[in-house]
Amino acid sequence: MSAAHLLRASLEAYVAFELTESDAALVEAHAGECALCASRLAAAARLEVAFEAIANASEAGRRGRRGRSARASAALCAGVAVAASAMLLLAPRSHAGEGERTFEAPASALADATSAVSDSYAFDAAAPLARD
Amino acid sequence: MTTFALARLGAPEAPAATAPECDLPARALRGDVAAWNALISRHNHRVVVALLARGVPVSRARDVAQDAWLKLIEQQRAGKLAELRLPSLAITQAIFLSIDAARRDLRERAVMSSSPADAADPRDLADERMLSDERLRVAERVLSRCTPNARRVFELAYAGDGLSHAEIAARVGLSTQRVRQIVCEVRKLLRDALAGAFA
Repeated sequence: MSAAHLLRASLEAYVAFELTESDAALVEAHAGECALCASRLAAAARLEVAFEAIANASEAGRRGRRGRSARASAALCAGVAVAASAMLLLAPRSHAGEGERTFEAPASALADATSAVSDSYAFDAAAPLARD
Repeated sequence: MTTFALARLGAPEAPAATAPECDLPARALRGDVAAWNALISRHNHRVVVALLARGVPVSRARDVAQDAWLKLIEQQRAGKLAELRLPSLAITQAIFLSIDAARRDLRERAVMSSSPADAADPRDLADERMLSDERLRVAERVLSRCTPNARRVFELAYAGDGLSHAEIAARVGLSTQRVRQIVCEVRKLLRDALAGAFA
């Protein structure tokens, strides 16, 4: 720690709560008497508080994305269920009537829906740390 | 008067970190002194830094923070505290106290001298915004370039509960040293990106 003025690293460590008690006391004692270091300490504290705001915003954003993704997944799962139900309902009738007839529309809808669900899971996996 | 643990903790890994964070506010609201001590140990530094950031001199910030905690404890004992959201409640309380102190100073200066007081309006202490939307977007771009791990570590370090590096390490499955390194790296990236904004 400089005798003339406090080092920026010391000020940053102080506001980040990374100094020992004795070093922190030195910072406080010097900043209590030196206007320049007091001003630099205030700037370091503003940056530290800004980090909190940034972290809160980041966390809120991640939760928002996860919430939207979960809602989209739920909607798509519901779509898959509807498509699957439709297939089940239609299948016996078609087999009874037309033998080898295929069901292109429901099958493609199902494929689209499942691929969209997979995409949404892939999106989820990229964002949070949970799968790391 | 009950003595509360207001002394600065020497290392980021505070002893209070062993107590489960989720239980502490509920226990403190029931008057558990040990829970209050743990909460104070965990959050007091953020209160001090918030005061410094708002221009409260370092010589006064620690005292104001201590008064804020005592005020909260008084409110709890009087049954006036329905919930305990920390550190925000303690920071708000500390800012109010610092505003009161600044008003008293202004009045005293006005009495002592006929010239207008040169101190800043104490309301500025509470109203000051620490981060504009534009800077928040810059920070978001920086964080978006970090790995998900690094971003999560940074969030845990700075948002909400005031977790120690050791607690974060346990939560994300990294070493404490690696967590410390990540926090330093992200801080440096953000500081460089926001250079000048807080000088």
